[in-house]
Amino acid sequence: MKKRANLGMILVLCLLMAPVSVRADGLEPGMSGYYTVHDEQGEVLLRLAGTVNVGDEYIARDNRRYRVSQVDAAAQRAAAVYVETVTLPEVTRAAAQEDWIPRVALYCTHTDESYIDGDGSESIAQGGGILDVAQLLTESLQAQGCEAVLDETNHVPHDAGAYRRSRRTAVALMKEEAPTLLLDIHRDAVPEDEYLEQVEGESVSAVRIVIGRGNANYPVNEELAKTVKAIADARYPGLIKDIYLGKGNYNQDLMARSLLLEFGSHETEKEMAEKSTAYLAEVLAVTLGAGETPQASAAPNASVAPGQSARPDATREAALPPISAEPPKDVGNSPWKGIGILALILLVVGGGILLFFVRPGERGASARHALREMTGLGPRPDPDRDERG
Amino acid sequence: MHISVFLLAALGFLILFGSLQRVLDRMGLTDRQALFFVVLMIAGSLLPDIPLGEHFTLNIGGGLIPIALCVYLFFKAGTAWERVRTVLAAILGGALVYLLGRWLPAEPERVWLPDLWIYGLSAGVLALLLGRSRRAAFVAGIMGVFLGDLAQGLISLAQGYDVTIAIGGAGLLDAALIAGIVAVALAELVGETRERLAHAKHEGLHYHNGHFERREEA
Repeated sequence: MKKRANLGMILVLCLLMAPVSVRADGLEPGMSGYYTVHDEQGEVLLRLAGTVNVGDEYIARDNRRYRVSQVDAAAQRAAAVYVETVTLPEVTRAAAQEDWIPRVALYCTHTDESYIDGDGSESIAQGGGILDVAQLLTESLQAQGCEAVLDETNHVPHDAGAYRRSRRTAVALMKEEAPTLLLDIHRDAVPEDEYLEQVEGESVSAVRIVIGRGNANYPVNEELAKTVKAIADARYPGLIKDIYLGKGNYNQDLMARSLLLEFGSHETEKEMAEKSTAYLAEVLAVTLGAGETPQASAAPNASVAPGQSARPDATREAALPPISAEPPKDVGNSPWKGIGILALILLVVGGGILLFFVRPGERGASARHALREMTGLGPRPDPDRDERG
Repeated sequence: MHISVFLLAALGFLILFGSLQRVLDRMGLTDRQALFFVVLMIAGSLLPDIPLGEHFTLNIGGGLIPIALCVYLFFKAGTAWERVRTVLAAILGGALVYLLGRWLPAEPERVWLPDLWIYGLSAGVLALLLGRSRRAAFVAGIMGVFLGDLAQGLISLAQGYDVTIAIGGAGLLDAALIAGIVAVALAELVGETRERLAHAKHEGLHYHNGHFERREEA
């Protein structure tokens, strides 16, 4: 009877294997909707493709921090409450660090993401326009004195397995390059005006930094994002539009100092996203403490030849506020903290059970029994282990 | 030491401490064998991937060793039904991973569970359906992710996309390894609980002070 029930379950599973229509995002004509997040006054704070969850946090351009308090999934709307005004890391003068070359590794989880204006489509499975943006960012970082490598491995389809596949790319980059910073380059899927910005008098795409709260590196990545924003705000105000702290993992558990960057949306002109790369590369290089290259260069929006700096010229440089070249500091995140918390929880829960559910005279025996069970020395209820595997 | 190596080392300590003895017994592994495989995985993950043609790579610690362990568990199965169950777990696990990849939303934040846990929990549920087999749970978790990725990769190649199928490519951090561990944990948690209760009911026992005892004694 039991085996018939098991076989019945297996039959059900086999039926599930029948061809079904897919609902993987990005592969069907027309993008899925986006969420609109409002503040307490009903003003639109941001629009975001994907899902907004209660507890998500958002640091706006003006450094006001909000926390999502309500989500209406059907209407794709959310409400956020103001928490505090964040004080970004202080931007101070520091000498350029010689003999320090930061390494940046880049990849694109959603390699199909493209720009309608520029690529002709929002998704190109063979390799989207986002790879071109990532390539330009890589070259700009190299021009800024960083060692930058882009892995163009294709992770299609754009489905739930994409982050699982790109995880392997990210780990390969970590193994081969030992990067200081790991970047996952994306583009958003919201209306174009969400990312329109003017930097140095030209129209560019602003950049959103996305941090995953679902991993232990979240505090470090948040500090890094704030440092990037602080330097960008000092040098190119508006370039970093905001920082979104979402529920996902985004493979940021793999190493501290890993960020997800959104360069515009599918409606953004691709050229504007490409223009942003030079500005962001400079900001990232400064964040990482890259040595300043000696030559003044052409304007940042010009294409940069390898080895040539993309920095503004020296006279403009003198007028800019001093910038920090200190690498971002770790926030003391380590596995020992998690182990300590786990041990404390076990102690509290175990002690609580003994105190409240076991009679005083039997607590010692129960504790000894529990320890025997943990070490596997206690009696086993069923010797026929092979039947159950 | 990287966190992943630390986690697997912690697993090694748990094996040494004997905390996983029952689980390993259920899987047909001794402590030494389990430790041996853990050490191989750690060492293997430090080695470069093995290229297999233009579109395939195999990670030693995250792919080759877990696959070898699954094969070992298959041959160690004492009954024909257990071997069938092991193979079924691998195939159905692969189908499940492939389907989950197509059905679940593409953005991780849309799923209420962390994405890395989903495959393990699904494999664990599959193993429970197959009779609470810890061996099947492990095989379903590991091979499920590998076969699911292989299936998707082959489909993408057939469609003309230039993809690389990296089996266990994330080494100790790969979803497959996490899925295998989570699946076994779920099967053990549910299976052990049910088996203890079933045993107690059969023997007329009740649970008192942390162990089963006969009602007349209590």
